[in-house]
This record gives sequence, structure tokens and C-alpha cells, in this order.
Amino acid sequence: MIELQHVSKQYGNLHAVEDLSLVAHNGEIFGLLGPNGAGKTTTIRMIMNIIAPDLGKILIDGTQITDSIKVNIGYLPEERGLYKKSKVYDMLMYLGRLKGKKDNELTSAIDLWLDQFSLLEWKNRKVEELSKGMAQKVQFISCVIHDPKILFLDEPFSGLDPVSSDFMRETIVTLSNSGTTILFSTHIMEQAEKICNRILLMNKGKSVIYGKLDEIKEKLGHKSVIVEFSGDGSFIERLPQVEHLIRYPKYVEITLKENSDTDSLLTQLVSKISIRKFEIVSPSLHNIFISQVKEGGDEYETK
Amino acid sequence: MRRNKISIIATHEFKKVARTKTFVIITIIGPFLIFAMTVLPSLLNNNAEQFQEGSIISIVGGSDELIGDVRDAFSPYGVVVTKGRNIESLKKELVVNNTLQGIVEIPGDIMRIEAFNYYSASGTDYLYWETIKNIIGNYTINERLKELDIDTATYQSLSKTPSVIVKKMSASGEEEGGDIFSIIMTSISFIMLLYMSILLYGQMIGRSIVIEKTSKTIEILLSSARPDEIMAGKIIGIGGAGLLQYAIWVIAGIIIKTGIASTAIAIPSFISISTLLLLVVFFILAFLLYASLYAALGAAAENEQNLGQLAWPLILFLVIPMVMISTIVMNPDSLFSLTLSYFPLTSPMVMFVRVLVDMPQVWEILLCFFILIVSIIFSIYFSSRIFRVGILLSGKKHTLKEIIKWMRYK
Repeated sequence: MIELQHVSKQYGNLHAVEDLSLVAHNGEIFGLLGPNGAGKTTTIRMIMNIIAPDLGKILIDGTQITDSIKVNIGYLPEERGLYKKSKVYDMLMYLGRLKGKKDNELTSAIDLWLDQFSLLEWKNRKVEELSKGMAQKVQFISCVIHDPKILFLDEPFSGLDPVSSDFMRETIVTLSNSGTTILFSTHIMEQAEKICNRILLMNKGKSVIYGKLDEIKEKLGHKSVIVEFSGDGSFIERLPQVEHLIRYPKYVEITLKENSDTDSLLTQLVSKISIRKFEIVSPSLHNIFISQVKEGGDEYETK
Repeated sequence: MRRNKISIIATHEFKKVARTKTFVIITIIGPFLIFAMTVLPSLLNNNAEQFQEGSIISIVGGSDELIGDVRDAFSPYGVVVTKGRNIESLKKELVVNNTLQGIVEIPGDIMRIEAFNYYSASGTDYLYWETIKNIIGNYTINERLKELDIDTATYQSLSKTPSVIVKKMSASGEEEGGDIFSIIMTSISFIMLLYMSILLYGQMIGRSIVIEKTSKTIEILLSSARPDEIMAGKIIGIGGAGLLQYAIWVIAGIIIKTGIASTAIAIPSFISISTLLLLVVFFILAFLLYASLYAALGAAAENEQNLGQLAWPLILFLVIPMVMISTIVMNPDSLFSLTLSYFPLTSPMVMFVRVLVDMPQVWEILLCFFILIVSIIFSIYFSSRIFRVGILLSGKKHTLKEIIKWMRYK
């Protein structure tokens, strides 16, 4: 279990992280979300004990972190960097040894993982010979080779093709089921929505939203309706139930005001236009994120 | 077996360097290369020019006797000496038809002239005009002596100056062989060796760090090891490769010196085994100092070009002894040489030259070691502070001033 209690870190006049608290339970996939410069990297570095917080406490399984925690951590940085001139096997051995693993344990673990990712034949090839996608996989193997209890994944899906991406997601879920705590950082909300149990949304060093994903949706999300129709739909925007409306070429996405009734909306629409599809959807994390950041009065830039 | 992180990183870095082809090549040909760069040109120069058989020298003016003397001197080499009359037509022969090697023009009375002319198409046929100068010089002196009725033997005994025999004393009070020329050349070779290896391995550290920083590999390492462990591992690993290289050179040197002393690659006698070991010690100390400074700069740099910009003050200190080598060898006890032989950034090279040239007192060498070791401790301490901050900050170039500020960060 990872626990941050009122953690702050300041660089000069910049509050990189301010009064941040969170709990990530064992076996949970925890989404650390937010735009660039929100303080995600600083937070991750503090949990890995690379930098020390100015204020607050960081506890792992109830005890204050020390350097010995590094043995139990796997880290996949956003920008991938491997030793280009090294052989895949040599590099995995090196990174595994640094995690305190015995050579014989590593040898079998490397074979196992390379086989799982269909990379076994590349074992003695140089990293620079790998394709981008293969290098991504090798990098992922390098951060799980020592069987970490805590795994930090920074944008693990970037650059992967759909098949590899699916496989990566399955692997992450399997690891989480076997008890690994996964801290997952991304700016693509759809991904976080698909796999996270719990999220913390950061902006400008502060926690904006924190909690279980379904509870957040329940509490903060306003219902949305997707309507496909023919006819002049310009009146929809002015209806009393409508909070916000996004027009797409074929349909509109309507965000309803709190406690609005979808039945009355449908009645009003049917009287003026012909409806082909009327779908009630739960709010997307994307919308929650944008509305929360905007409500906070802060500017939010998407990448 | 669980191993210490520093030793894992050091082993990795050591293998990475020692397995490269460059390392093997430098280890094998390094000493020859330095020998070739320093000693060879002067050796080659001695045999560079030879008389061309069948070449013609024409002399205008001067007595037949003088021309006979010149002819006698050149005839063993097959050089033809003729008596010329018309200087203008000869000049044409020289430059247009290319049939002559050179023309000697003696203006007026041989007894009174202060200079004569030598015309040549190249102007660089040093061996010809130097030979002619000596013959004409001897001839005129002899003629002048005859005029004054002084015999040659008297003149020679009167004009003879005492010569100097240079004998280098070793610390134990023995006389050593070896002429000044070979001492200077050897000093230059060794200083080159130190300069090149310190620069090579120092830059290797800096580059290795800046590459890992830009490729973000450092982030993965940081998730496993502390910054000071990474820095120490790199310095020890890459330094170990350098040390292996020196060990190979020194052992080869000792084998050549003790085993096959009378080979073509004889090592000058004033280089003892202890001198070679001292070379290794100076390399280690210089490497540790420069490596720790380079590590800090590598961590602070944004990319490899930026590292080059930040590292110029370091290179400057390495270059000073190289540029001032002749001054140092000629005046090993001057204030300038003494200062450089204690100043930590130049002392490994300059003190080693002093060891070669005038064997300083033992306390002087120990003082030099002491200053170096203290500097290394300071340098490692401050560099590790810069390193810690630098490797995490990317995306911006930093000035040396900003970098020095990082030392104060908590």
C-alpha cells in the first residue's frame, strides 16, 4: 500500500506538488492523471525516493520509505531509453542485477518474459536492431523482470500498435490481479477509464479529483445523452435541461443539468425533430476532468 | 549473490568500454602512436635529405683551389661541381631548364667577403648549402691565417672552447646515461600519454552521463540506485578500463626493460620501473579529479554539444602543460613549473615531468599527492551534489554560474 500524507515539494518559487494525499491499495491500478506540468513526475520521483518531499510523509505498507524500497519498484518512464549498443539479454540482466536479483533467477525470468512477448529470438540481438514497438516491450520487461510489488507505468501504451496495446493491457491486469500495485500515469482519459480502479487527478501541483472511479462518476458526473436526428436541431441548446452541448457531424452530445429528467427531454425532442438514436451514457472521465479543471478557474491545456 | 550496486554499475561500464574495438586498438597502438607523434618526426628529419647523385652545383667566382675543395667534398656522393661564368645564364638553367641543383655566387675577394649567395630552385636544400658554407668557411679561415702567418694547429688550439658533457644524476646519486634530447622527447611522450588518456576517459564519463540523461536511461537507473552510486559506479568502471590499459602498457614496458633490454625499442635508461609505477599513480589521481568534474558537467549538460561548451575550462588546464612543455622541461625549478606542479589540475602532468627531468625531493611528490587527494575529495563531494540535481533537470541549458548554485540545494 502506498500512502502519501500532505506531501509538498517546492522548486524555488514553483510549487511542484502542494499538500497531496493519496492511498493506493495493494493490487489496485491507480491512475495518476493530469496535464503536463501537473506534478506527476515529481510525485513519482518522491515515491521512488529519488527526491525528498519538503513537507509530509510517504509510507509504503505503513513504513516510511528508504532506499531499500527501490528493490520492490519497477519503473517505466514516459520517454523510453535503452542502451542501444547492448544486447537485449545483457541489458535486462544489468537492470535486473541492479534490482538485487540473483543471476540464475534473472536468466529464467528473462526467457519467460521474452517468450510471452514473442521476443525470444531477439534475446541476443542488439537493442538498436529492434523496431520501436519491440523496444517498448523490452523496456516494459526491464521494469517487471524483478517481480516488483509496485509498478510505475508512465504512458505505457504510447507507440504500441493495437494488438500489442491489447496485450499490454492484459499483462497489466494480470499483474494487478496477482497483487502488484500499479501506478499508472497518462493524459489519455479513455485509457485510464478502461483500467483504473482509483484515480487522482492533478493540476498545477494540487489534487483536483481523488477517489474510486465509479464513485467519482456518480458524484461529479452529469448525465450525458447522445442524440442522432434529422431536422433543424438548433433549438436543443436552449432547452432548460441542457447544461452543455457538443455538436458532431452526425449527432450531438448533450450534458444534462443536475437532476434533469431524460424522459422530458426526449418528449420535447420528438415533438420537433425525428430521432434515430437516443442513448443515455455515463459521464466520461474526460468531461469530468475538463469541467473540474475549468471550475477551479485554472486554464487547462490538452496535449 | 546480491551485489553492491556500485560494483554492478562499475562492472557494466567497464565491460562497455573494454569491449569496444577502440579500446583494444588504443591499447595496442597507443604508445606507438605517441612515439610516432613525438619522437619519430625528429628522427626522420635527420635522414630526410640526401645528396642527389648526378646533381650539379655551379660556382661563380672564387679560386680554382676553392672549387677543388668543394668538388672533393661532394665527389663521394656523386654530386658534380662545375665552374660557372655567366650568372644570368646559369640562373636560367636553374629555373627554366631545371638542370642545376644550385648556383654559388662569390662576390669579390674571397678573403674579405662577409656572405656569399646560394641560388636554388627550392631554397630548402639545406644539406647542400650547409655543406658548401662549411667548406667555404674553412677555406677562407685557412687563407686568412696564411696571410697572417699563423698555422692551423695554433689557430685551432686558440679558438677551441671547452665542451660540456651533460650527466643526469639520479636520486641515489648515480650518474645516468641519456642525453638531453631523449629526456625531452620522452617527457613529451609521457605528457602526451597522460594528456590524451585523461582527456579520453574524462570525456567518456561526461558523455556517458549526458547520453543517459538525454535518453532518459538515467531515470531507470535512478529507480534502482542512488545518484552517488551511479556516479561512483561510472567513475570506477570507466576508470578501471583506463587502468587496465595503463597496466598493459606498464607491464609491457617492464618486460621490454628487464627482459629484452637491447632490442630496437629500447626504453631510455632514466625510466625506471618505479617511474612507470609513478606514471600509473599520477594517471589514477588525475583521472579521479577530472572524472568527477566531468561527471558533474555531464549531468548538468543538456546535450553533447552543451557538454563541450561547459567543459572548456577543464580542457584549458589540460592543455597548459602541453603547450608549456618545453619551458617546463628546460626550467623544471622555475616558479612557473613549481606552481603548475602543485596546482591540482596540472600537477599530475607537470610533477611527472619534473620526476623525469630533475627528480624532485620525496616530500615534494608527497605534497603534490596530498594536494591532489584533498582536491579529489572536494571535487567528488561538490560534483555529486551537482550530479544529483543536474541529472533530473532537462530541457534547458544551464550556465556554469547556475550549476555552481546547485551545490547549495538541499
